[in-house]
Amino acid sequence: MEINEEMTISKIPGFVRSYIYEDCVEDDPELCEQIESPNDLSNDLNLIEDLDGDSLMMLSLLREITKTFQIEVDLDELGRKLIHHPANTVGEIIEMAELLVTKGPEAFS
Amino acid sequence: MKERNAYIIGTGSYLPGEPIPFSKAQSVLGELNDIKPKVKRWFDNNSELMREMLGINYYHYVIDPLTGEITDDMITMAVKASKNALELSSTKVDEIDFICYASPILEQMPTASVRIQAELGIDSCAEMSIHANCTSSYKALMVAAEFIESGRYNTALVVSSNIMSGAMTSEFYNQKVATREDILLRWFLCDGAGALILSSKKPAGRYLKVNSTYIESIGGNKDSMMFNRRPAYPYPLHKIYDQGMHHTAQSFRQALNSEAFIDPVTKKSLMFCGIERMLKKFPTDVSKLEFLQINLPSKQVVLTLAGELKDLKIDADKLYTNMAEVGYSGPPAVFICVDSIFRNEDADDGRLVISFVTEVSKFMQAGFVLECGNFVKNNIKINMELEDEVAC
Repeated sequence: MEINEEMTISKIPGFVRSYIYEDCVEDDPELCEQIESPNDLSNDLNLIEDLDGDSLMMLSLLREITKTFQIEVDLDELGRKLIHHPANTVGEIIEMAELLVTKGPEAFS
Repeated sequence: MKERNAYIIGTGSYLPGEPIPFSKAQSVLGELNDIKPKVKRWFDNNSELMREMLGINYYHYVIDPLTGEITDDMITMAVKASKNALELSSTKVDEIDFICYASPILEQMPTASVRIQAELGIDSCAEMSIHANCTSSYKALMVAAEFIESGRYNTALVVSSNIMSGAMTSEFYNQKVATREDILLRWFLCDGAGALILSSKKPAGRYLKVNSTYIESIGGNKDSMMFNRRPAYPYPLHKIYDQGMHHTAQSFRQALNSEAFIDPVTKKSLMFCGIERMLKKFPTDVSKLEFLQINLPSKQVVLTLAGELKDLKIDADKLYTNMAEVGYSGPPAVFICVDSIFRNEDADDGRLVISFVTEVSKFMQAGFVLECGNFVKNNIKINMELEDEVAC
């Protein structure tokens, strides 16, 4: 996925939905039938149970967010934080991404 | 009952082929071009992330990167590591009266320990093969050390080898049914062998006294997180392939919010709790710790655990690993690491080496505590003279 360097916080929900759509839906014929575009990913959908995603995808997504917004968080620290602050649904992942962008490394403290 | 001590008097390792950089590993194993597009995309998208998480810069494979030919097998690698350990300890093969071999399950008959015995030219000795994943080498060390301590045997070869690459090549998989779990380990594992020579006699040169060995199995009520899907009886090979039962899979999808790795009472990691139990069962002065090996193929997880170990007064700066340079070969990795310590490091007498592992196939855990002796510079090759030691 192309990362828009001028992305602002208001675009995070769209970025997250597009990322999840590409990773989970685009190559999955069954899911494609139900979810036609990133905008169809409702906040209550569970990444793992509903979208056949996984923890690695989520970590990878948040990693992209930190790179895009130049937030200095070590990968191991990010992983530790996620263990203690799990995000399961699309909405929770968007909230976490926004928190990470607005508060930086202090997001989970 | 400990009648006498067991000493590691020599170590050896063998790593097949030239080091393969992380970026080249998938091409050596073979690209997965027939796998489901979603799985392929997932693998490609997460490679860089995994490189950061694992901290593995190089792998070793028995696969020739140019020709694809297999250059070693489990036995040849074990024999090469054993010969290195025998040479370093100046032990003659006819002194070996017990061989204990550790590896994941093998399908050959006769079992590996006797084939290693034959390749080394030992006409008669006792032998045993122990099969598990990463805990198997700890179990082999435990058995050999206890046999020596009890007086049953005097000189033991403990050896482990593993070829994981063969189970991760593009032609091994039935790619059409392979899942993310089935291919995850392509990032983690590679090939190698490691060996230890144990003796009842305290050497004049460098040694590691086996202070304690420990095993536990705490997954009786837990799901397996590393497995294949073969049934527990002989099953037609074409059906195994068709259904991908032969794939070695690792569950990970809920790794970040799974309770599987956390003790429900203490909220600490299972590995931390295991180390705590080991040190309680075998009281150890951790202020003497010199080298701590957390035997896991992930830098991220090791660093996370190291943070917890402060509660046991163990500092993260004691962590010791050579995984970045040699990769992680599963069962033999611990012996390869001990070999690196034995050959390359210095330590005052009485300083300790502690190693611990969690095997998620069914949450078995194991560890040991070794005590350094004569670990001064340039004394590596002076283990020729052994002193008889009376019962302690």
